[in-house]
Amino acid sequence: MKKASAHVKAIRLTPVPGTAEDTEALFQRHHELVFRTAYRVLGSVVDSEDVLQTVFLRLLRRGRTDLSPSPGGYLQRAAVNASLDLLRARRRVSLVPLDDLKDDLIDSPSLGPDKQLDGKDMRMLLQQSIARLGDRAAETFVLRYLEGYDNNEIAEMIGTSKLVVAVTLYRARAKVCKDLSKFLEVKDEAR
Amino acid sequence: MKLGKKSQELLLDRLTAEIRGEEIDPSVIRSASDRVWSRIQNADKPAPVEPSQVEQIRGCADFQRLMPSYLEGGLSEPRSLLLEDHTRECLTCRRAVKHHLHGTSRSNSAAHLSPTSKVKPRRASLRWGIAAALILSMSFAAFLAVRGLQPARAGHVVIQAAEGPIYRVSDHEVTPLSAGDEITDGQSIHTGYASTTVIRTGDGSLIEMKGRSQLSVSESDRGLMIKLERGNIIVQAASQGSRHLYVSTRDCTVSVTGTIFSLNSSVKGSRVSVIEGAVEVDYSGNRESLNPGQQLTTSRGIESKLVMDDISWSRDAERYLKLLAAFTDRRIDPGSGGGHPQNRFSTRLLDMQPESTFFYIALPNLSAALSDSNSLIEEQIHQNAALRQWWDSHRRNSIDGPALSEIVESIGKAAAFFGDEIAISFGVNSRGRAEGMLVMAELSDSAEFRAFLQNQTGAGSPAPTGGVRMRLIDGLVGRESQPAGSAARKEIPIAIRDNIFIASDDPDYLRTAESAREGATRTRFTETRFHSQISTLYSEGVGIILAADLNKIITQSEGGDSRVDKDRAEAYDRLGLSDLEYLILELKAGGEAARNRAVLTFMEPRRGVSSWLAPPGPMGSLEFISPDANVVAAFVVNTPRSFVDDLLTSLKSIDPDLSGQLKEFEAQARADLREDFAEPLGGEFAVALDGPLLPTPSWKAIFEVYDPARLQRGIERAVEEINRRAGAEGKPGLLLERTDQGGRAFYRLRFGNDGPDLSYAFASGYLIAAPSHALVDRAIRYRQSGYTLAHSPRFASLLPEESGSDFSAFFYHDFSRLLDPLARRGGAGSLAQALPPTLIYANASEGRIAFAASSQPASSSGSLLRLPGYFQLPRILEEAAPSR
Repeated sequence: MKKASAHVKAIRLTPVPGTAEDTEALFQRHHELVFRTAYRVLGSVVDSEDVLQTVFLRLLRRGRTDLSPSPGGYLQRAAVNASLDLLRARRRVSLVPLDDLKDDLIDSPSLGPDKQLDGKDMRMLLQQSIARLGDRAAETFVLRYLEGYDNNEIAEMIGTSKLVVAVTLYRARAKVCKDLSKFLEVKDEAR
Repeated sequence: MKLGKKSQELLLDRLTAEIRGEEIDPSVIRSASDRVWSRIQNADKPAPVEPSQVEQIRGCADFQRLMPSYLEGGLSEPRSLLLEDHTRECLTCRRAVKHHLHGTSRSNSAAHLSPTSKVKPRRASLRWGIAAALILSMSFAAFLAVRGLQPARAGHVVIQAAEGPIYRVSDHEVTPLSAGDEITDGQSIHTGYASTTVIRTGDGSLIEMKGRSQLSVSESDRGLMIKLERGNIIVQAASQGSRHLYVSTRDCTVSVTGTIFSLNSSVKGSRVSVIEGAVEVDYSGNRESLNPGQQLTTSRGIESKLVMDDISWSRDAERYLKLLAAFTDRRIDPGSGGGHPQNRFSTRLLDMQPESTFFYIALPNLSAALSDSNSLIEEQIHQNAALRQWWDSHRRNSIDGPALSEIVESIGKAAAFFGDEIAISFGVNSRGRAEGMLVMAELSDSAEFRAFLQNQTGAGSPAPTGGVRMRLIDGLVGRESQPAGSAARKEIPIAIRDNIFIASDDPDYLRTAESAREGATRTRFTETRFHSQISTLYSEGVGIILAADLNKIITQSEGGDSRVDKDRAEAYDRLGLSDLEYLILELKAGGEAARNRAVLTFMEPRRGVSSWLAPPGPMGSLEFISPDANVVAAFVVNTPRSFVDDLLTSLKSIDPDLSGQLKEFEAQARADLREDFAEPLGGEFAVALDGPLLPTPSWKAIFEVYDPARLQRGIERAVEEINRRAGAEGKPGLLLERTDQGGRAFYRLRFGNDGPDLSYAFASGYLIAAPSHALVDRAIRYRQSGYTLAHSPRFASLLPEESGSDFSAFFYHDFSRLLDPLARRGGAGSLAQALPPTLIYANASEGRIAFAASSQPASSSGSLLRLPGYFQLPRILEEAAPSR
């Protein structure tokens, strides 16, 4: 379990007067969506709490409460991006390149003698791999494979064409698959 | 292993599908969102924070909370160094320091933090700040005065009274508290076993805490906030003016303005009972108003209780009961839909049992229950030596009569005429010899039943092949005698009186039982304690009952002069088993699943082995165990000291040499097992297999510790002495190493050069031990992240209604993490089915221990009558004791 980076949490913002009540309504309506979205990316309750705080503090700072046409969609994307920021910040802080990750995982007490990866380790690997993707690719990947949106919906959400989404996803998926495979290969050699 | 493209795709799909399908406990989200919202609200009002309030530095936010103390020079040196290091690397925090130094002024000068000196705020800024604060305060006070509102002052929280131990618990230390001590904002307070503590807040509100409860008190703009992490409290809220007093648990928030109410919080949910005034309860998106005498439970998993029972532990229980007397108990329970149709709440049959009854079974009149009853009775009886002995003698005596199975089969054919219950009982005479068996049922229409019997037993009707038939003895028994010979074996004598059907395997016993009925409705059995124990069950609804008067059996089976008999009697006495009175086993439908439990009662307050268990309490140790744990066992003891005393006393009688060596060791090491090891412990223990079994089993042990420093000193002294002895014998000793990480000390104990390792650390009032530093660290992180067994939906689904997660002891296993991969390969499918996640637990009180089990899915395969081997319990206790 990696220690959560505090980069997101560190932003202490000054709220704009007059928007707190609107923000509260948004918070009450969408906090669960934001939290769950962050949790799917980060797999940590503590980190997801940080993301929840970051997303709504940013709203408050910007005094922005009109998120139409889709407040839920906006906040979900905000949660995805804040989570990706956190993943990348953590990666920077902990300096865990993929090739080194195998040592962490192989030494992990959760690995048995057969070096069978458990779900948490695979999840960590997937997070690292997503964090290595470009901003747009990572966001698209998360929306498609962790949030379950289809290409049309993603295209509409991020304001691009379906074709661009499909190509981005194809490349992102290939990279992630390659990372997973590479890791398993290295692990097998280390056995 | 190089994966093909298809395998890569499949792996990725599986991984992402698992992530998408992962459930998060809604209460975790609620708690997180409450905290976040509270922080967002206070984002523009940075309150000065005492360094002690930041239990652990997890990120920039915590560093920023420490900055005011740092700038005032009040921060400890290690923390100052950490903060200085951090601000060198973190731009955001450098800006925050600047903000603290200069208020909102836009100074471009970079803040510089000297590693050795503290930066003092500018005096001019301070003066301006004070002036501004005074003006704002006066304005605000004037505003309130105009509106006629006077906010309650909640600060200055003190311990008003404390009976028993109470501690301030932070992530890194446990500090004993006593009456008069002050509690600062946000500090966690934990009450020890059997402790009762009263806390007074600045506004005059009183919070009474039951033992093993934990809470913190903080103040927000909206009012005083009490966060009950676990346990029971009773709150007497002072008048709050325009503000509110809030008490939050994992899944609800109670808001009041001036009232008395009790709140219980456990993993399964919360229960709110109102004694005086009114409260508002927010839970799961609902809001309920409660008035005196009313109670609310937030989930199906937590049992409703009479309000007076819920507060009976309080020092002021008598006063509260008087307040409640004016109100009728009313419960709002979203989880209960009333009594289950299978459960029965009254009976006439129990009152009609003969006085000699020592074994009583009550079954619902269901064909499944009847057809399985014979095997059920035999199975349970054979698990208990004394019962088995009696049963064998009974069968020898009644060898000429019909067998139990034949009686049940025959009676089953007439079940359509019976009421909703069938009772089977066995009696013994004063010499302990079996008297006979009775089967009783209420008749819905005795005339119809007589007609049925007429058809079945009419002249010339042959007895059913391979079975027996009923023979009605009308009027008082005794006028007819049972025909002799083989024909008699095929008949069951029955009697009908006052719409009660009675059958027996022995006509003489039937005769005796019938004669004993006084006024046709009661016998002298109703005056016995055994009767009252059983009749109590009916008030809560019963399904199946098996009750045995163990004392009658044990007493009458004792008295042998052989050495074996004497040894057995001695062993029973040492274990406290000679005080055993009744064993009552109960299975009933309730909620969504069948529930079963066994209760052992004692004639005297529990002693010996059976006295070790403490009454049920919350178990904070579960927060160090992940939801993926394979096996967990946990228990609470009354006092670890008495536990050790009993062990040492047993050791003395079992192995005097070893006992002597231990004393010598204590003398040479200047150590005392009781003082140094038992006394600092809290009384809560847990062990778990939480991770892979190979190459080293991922076990962990968690001990509640009230005095970590004292325990650590004891360990160090013991290690020194062991090493001294080992050195004298030329053997490798123990190596105790300390590593500091994240402000926490981790210890590693190595047994010789190649021996096993043991690592441990102290956190939040517990000692966590495991085979490796990584496992200990991971256990602590489980608690911090909330990824714990206590929050696991699978574990929660097994928790009982009546006590939530409060147990005296429990054993839980969930092998799915180990077996599912094997099952998918076709290797362990049947094993996985045979070992569903199961929770077996015990709850103890002064004169009884209740055992129960639940599994998910139920392992009963649809049969209500598959019961765990509860009747083995005395034998298990006996065998668990040290052998002579």
